[in-house]
Amino acid sequence: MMRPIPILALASCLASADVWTDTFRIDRVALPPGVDPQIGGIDTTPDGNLAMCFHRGEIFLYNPGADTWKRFAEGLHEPLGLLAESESSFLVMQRPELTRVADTDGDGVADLYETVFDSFGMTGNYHEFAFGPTRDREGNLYLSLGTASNGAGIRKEVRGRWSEIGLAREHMLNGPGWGKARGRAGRMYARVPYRGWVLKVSPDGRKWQPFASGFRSPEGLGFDKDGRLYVTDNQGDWLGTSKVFHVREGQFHGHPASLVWKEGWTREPLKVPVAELDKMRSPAMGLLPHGELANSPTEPRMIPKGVFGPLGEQMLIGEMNQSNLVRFLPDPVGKVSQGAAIPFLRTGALGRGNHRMTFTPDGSLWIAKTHLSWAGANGLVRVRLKKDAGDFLAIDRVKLLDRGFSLGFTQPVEAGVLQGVKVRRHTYKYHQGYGSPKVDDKEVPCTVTKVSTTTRTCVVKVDDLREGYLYTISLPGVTSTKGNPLLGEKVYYTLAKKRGS
Amino acid sequence: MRSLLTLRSAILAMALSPFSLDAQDGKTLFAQHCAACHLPDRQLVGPSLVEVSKLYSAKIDEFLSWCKKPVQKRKAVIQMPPMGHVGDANLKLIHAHIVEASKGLKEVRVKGLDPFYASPSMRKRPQVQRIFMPEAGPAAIAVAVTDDLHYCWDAGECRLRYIWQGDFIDGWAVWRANGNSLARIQGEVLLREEQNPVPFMDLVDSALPRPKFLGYSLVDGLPTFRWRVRGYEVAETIRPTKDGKALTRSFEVKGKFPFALRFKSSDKMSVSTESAGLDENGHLTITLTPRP
Repeated sequence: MMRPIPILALASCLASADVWTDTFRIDRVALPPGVDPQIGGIDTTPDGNLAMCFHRGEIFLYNPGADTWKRFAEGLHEPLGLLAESESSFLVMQRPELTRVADTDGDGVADLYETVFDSFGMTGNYHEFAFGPTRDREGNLYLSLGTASNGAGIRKEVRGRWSEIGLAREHMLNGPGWGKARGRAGRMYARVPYRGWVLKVSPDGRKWQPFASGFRSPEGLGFDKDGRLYVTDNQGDWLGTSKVFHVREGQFHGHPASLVWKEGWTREPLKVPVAELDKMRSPAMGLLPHGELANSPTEPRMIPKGVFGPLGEQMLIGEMNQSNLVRFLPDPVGKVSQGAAIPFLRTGALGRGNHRMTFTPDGSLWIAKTHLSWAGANGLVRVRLKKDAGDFLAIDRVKLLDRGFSLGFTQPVEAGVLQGVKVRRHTYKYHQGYGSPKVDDKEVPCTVTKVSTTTRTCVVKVDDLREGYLYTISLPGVTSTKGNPLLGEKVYYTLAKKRGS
Repeated sequence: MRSLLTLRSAILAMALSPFSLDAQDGKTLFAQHCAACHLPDRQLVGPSLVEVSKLYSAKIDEFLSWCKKPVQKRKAVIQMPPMGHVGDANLKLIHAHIVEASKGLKEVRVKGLDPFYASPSMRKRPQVQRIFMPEAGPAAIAVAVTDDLHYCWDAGECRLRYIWQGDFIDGWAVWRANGNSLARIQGEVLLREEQNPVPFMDLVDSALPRPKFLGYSLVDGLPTFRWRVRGYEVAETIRPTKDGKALTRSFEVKGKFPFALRFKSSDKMSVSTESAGLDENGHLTITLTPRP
């Protein structure tokens, strides 16, 4: 009570210094009491309500207009994704299976927990999370399976077939011997089917196929407007930094543990020469620099058309460890998918733990948070474009040129504010080790040309373009002709393939 | 933690045991109406007597109105039910007991106790909870049939693993982190089952058939598990008997299943039949009774 005025003054000063909260309103939503507040999955129902599954297995329905919660189901095992089929039926990806949780007698509470798909293995290792589902235009479902971590062994009883490729099973068991054996197990391992894979399941759950391999901890899946399946993966062994992949059938994305489930595969993945693995792998569509942009990327989710102004139909990717999301602009070169990652909502007001996302018809983005004892947070956050936000400035087009990059802005920008633009490039090691330092990291000369306020574009000319590198374009202090600051002052362009090469 | 949970079970048992109705001293009234949720020196479901005393020792009127019209104060736990039925005179006796019983005690901060132990979905009976369970496969399901009788069903193997008596599970070790642990059962195992009583393994063929789990449906909160093996679809439901002291276990098999189902008693639980065929509708019900 003593000194409210200076505190308020400080708060308002901070608020006006935050370009994100000047444009977006970010609110925390109170959860119902008595619920462990980590949210594993969220989706919007056809009527515009929200369905959420929680850490201990409850499903709650939330009516955002009335601000009311209704308990719908309970008892699921670490559900990490939810897809609403109707107001009363939900597909939930829990650790052991994809389950349809439905109210069949109309009393508003689930009475059916139908196993849709459980044809994958579990060793009981904690890191064997199950992620998804997401759905393609034909209604097929896609889910992804995390590999096990050598932070623990396996349990005596496992579900599914056991792969004999690798350390003998008796040495893989949790217990006093594990400390000695774990070094030989692989940092992450996939000894039951199809850990480290993305699976495709028919709409009725009866048919399924292993779809793509080479994942470590593929936390989120989502389709963009052009039907590309995005899957994220987490920095660690074999991943110098976190990545987002454009996943297509049959591709291998670099983490070798999953190869033991490739048809006809007989070799110990850790004994395959790295150069051979490197040839097999499909490169990432986006490298998300560790410690800068993303440490643990989560779910890709498309912004609906007409929402967030000019950013409609662009892809957002969640992030656990940093107070930001990632906006991804694909820029394919021939058949190679690549593109630009740009920080989005990079503000303390967003917080960490941004795990699952959905939009409601009123244009709100809802972010469900979790941590599972790693860095993260919990609870539910709602993000809206402020009514009085006006025309904000952001980069909405990035295109690789023969010599440099073309950037498109949502608002006119004059050449004078682009004098501070700088470009660096670096790459990462592909190796068994955990993470990677930046390799060959250096500033490359660039010049800004062809600034047009009519087409709202400019060219950042760079002569030194190399395949397999991440180009970081910094645009400090850029404002629109109206004086609006640039939201997202860095563009991280993953150059897998040069144009015309 | 273990000792505290044992203590908790003891208190619950005490709260449930019959008291003579004319015993109207504060201590007895407290045991009757309050002890299930309130410990002397540490938080359980509700605050400790030390804390209650600190808040209300000198404010008996506020204590009475709180008891009659409580509100939700703590996020992780359920709201106290209104206690108006106890009556002002008895509530005053309870107040005096709280003040007396907490004298000289200090609040003990409990580490490792599940802060959501008492949340509605954790205390619901019956309760179905999928979680990593001891001595079962990784796709296990724990079911609290009553306050006292519980079982573990394995969705990977499609069979009952064990039945226990006491309190339900303590899942905090799993839920507090990333799942690198097992839930603990809070009681004594009465019966373990080593194989599926539906003897599908007897069906002669080269490859061992694996049962396919189809899920479960809930009736009055109790699950009916369904699985399929070799074209036979099996449904299994475990319910409490009317007096709640034993369990019934029903099977329904679709298709003309030619074999008897096999069960085994244990030294702590008897089953009403060790071998039994299904009736013409494919039904069979047995009773599982804890031995005295």
